[in-house]
Amino acid sequence: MAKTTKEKETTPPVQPDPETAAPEKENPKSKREKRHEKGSLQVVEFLLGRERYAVDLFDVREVVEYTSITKLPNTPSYMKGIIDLRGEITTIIDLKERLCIPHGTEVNEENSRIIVLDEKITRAKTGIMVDDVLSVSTFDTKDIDSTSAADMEDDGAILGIIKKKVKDKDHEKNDLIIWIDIRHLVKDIGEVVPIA
Amino acid sequence: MQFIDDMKMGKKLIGAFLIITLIAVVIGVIGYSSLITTSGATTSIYDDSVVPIGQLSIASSDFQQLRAELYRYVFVPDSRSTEEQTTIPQLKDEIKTEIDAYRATSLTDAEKTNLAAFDRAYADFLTQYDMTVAAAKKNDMTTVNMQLAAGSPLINARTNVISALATLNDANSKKANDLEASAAQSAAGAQMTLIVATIIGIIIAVALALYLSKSITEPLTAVSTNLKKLSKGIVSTRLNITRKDEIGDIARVMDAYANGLQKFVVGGMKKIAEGDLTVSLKVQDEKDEISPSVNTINATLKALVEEATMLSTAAVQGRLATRSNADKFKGGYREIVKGVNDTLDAVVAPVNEAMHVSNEYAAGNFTARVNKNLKVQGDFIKFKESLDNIGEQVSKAMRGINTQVTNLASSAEEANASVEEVAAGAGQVARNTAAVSANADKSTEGIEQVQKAMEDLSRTIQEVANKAETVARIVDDTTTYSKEGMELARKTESGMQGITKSSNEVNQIILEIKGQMDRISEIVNLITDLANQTNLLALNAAIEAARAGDAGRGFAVVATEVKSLAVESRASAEKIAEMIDNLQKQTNHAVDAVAAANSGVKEGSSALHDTLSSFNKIVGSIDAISKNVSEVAAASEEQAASVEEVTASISEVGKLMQDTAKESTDAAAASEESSAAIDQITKVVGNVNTIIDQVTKEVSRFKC
Repeated sequence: MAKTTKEKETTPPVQPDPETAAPEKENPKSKREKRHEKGSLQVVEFLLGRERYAVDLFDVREVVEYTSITKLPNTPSYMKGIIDLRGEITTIIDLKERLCIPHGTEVNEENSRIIVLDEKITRAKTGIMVDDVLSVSTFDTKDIDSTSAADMEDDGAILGIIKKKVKDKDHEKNDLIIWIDIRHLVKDIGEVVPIA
Repeated sequence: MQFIDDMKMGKKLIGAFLIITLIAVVIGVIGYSSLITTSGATTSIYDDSVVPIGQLSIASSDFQQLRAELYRYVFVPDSRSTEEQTTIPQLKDEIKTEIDAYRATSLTDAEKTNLAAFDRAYADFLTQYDMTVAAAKKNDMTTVNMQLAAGSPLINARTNVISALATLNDANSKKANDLEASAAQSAAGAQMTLIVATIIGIIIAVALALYLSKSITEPLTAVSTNLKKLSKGIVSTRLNITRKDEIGDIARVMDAYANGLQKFVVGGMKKIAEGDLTVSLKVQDEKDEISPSVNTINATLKALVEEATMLSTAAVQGRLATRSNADKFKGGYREIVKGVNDTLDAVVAPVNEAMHVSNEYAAGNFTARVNKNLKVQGDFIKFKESLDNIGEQVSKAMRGINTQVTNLASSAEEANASVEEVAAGAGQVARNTAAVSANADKSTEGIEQVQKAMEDLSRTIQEVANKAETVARIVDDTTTYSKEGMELARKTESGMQGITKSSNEVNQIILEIKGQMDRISEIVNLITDLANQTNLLALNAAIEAARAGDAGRGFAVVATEVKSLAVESRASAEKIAEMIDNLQKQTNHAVDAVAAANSGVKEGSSALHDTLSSFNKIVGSIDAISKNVSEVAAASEEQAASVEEVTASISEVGKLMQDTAKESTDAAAASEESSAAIDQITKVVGNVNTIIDQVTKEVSRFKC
């Protein structure tokens, strides 16, 4: 129930994004910095536990449903295992485990989603397991607060905090979405895969 | 008004017409005098008012012209000669003529005063007028203007003249109005008088006509009614009219005629009819036919009565040879006398013969017979045969008596012997019956005791029977009640079965509903699943669209829409799922409730079965009781019947015994009586013997 209400609230701001996003996407395709300069950012929003997270849209290949995961022995705890995704072996990372987010009891693993990442950012095909995927959204750079991210440079996973305007009854308020650097989080995975 | 009735008819009629004519003349005279009065009023109006008004108005207009002529004279110098010589004098003359004419009419005092005022004013005016004319002629315009100015003597005089004329005119008009009013009044008075006179005249004439016709027709009607009565034979009525005219004469003559008829003729006839033959009417006239006829009838009837008296006296005195002289009478009266003579002849001969034969019989000679040569008719034949028959029958009877008396004597002897034997038998019977009577009395006593005992027994049995009947009634009631109870229990049972069936059906339906809801749940799950997948697809589509950049912009919109639809579908599906959950919970409650109801019904049903079987047992027991009681009742009734029969039999025996006792007593009495009777018979037989001897002696005296 909580999910549905949230989604309902988030849907209206999604609508304008194709119009605003379209002219930007003409020139740049690769550099995140460039897009920052342009003034807007396209992300995929998802849920981990009770918090909202976002990754760069261009780091995402697709979203798939949960399928049974084959566990691999002798791997870090955040390595959930592998799945067969249309004939390709895909490594699945439990992002909650990786980000040290405590597991809620209520979460049913079968209801979770897998975000398949773009092949360019990993050497092997990789997917991250999240509680739910909410939407594809576009934000202005002025809505992104990168200052807070600088403090946590040691792991370097958090790129910034996105302030998303939500209408809660009559007054506006900001939902905070944690923008994470998925490339950084999965960069060591490729090293594992060739060994295996 | 008697004098009118006493007048002769002619005088009466002429007098009436004269009165009516007089009335007409009076009315005419009144009308004529009214007309004259009205006409005089009209004439005086004309003479005294209309003519003077005309004269005054001419004078007034002339005066105005005269006034105008003055101005003309002053301001038109060319016409002065004409004016002076012709017009002005002419006008003055005319005014004078008219005023004089007016003066000549009959004037009232007020008119005369007014006229004098006018004369003064007019004279004054003429003086001033002539003065002004003279001034104008001298062309002395100062004087003329002064005279013509307001307030000058001329103008004042003129004003006076005009006002005097107006006063005269007004007075005349008023007079005319007064006259007219009085004329109208007198005309109205005359009209009223005429109408009243006419009405009075009509009333008098009609009253006179009515009275006269009544005075003539009423007595005439009385006379005609009386004549009708006379023609019908009623002679007692009289007119008693005292008037002295022609009708009075007629009435008096009629009364006298009726008197004569009633007193003499009818009175005489009535006396004759009643048998008084002393009547003798006085002959009124040579040609009187009524009185002589009545006298003749009287004489004839007297003669007839004398003859009849003579014959009857002779017959009463036994002088049968007397006859009356028929030649003294005529016609029908003669026939009567002759008839009486013939009757006497026919009766006397048989009577003489009968007297002769009777004399023979009286002497004891019954061989005598009526003379065969005597001729008789009708009833006398029977008379003759009867006389003969007496002789024959008496002779025969005497012979019979002789023979019978001889026989009787011998029989009496035999009877005497038998009677003695009977007397001995009767004595024996009397003795036997006394013994029987004593025995019967004893038996009767014994039987009475038995009867009393039987009655006691019968009472006891009757009580038993009554009790048994009461018990049977109570048992019947109980049976009815228990049957009703059973019926009710059966009905309840069928109701219970109905409830069980219904609750089973409800259960079935609820189970079906449950199954359907499960299916709905499945479908909802499917929908949720589909919504989820659609959501996913939409997400992917959005990602692809974003990656495609500009080219995917339109597609991104579609993807977003699809996603929102998917989200809504999922939300709806989740709501449905929730509802279904609730429904399923309630359905489960319903199933439980129905199950509870079913078990309750089952318990009730089994309890009812128990009740029913109890009732059945009760009914069985009651039937058994009923049967036993009925048997007791039947048995006691039989007993009662038997006892009654026994009692009846004993009563019968008792009655028979009593009868026997009574009969034996009767028999004893009878035998005593018969002994007495036999003694009597013996005596009688002795008497009979004596009588027979006497009869034999007497009978031998007759020849037969």
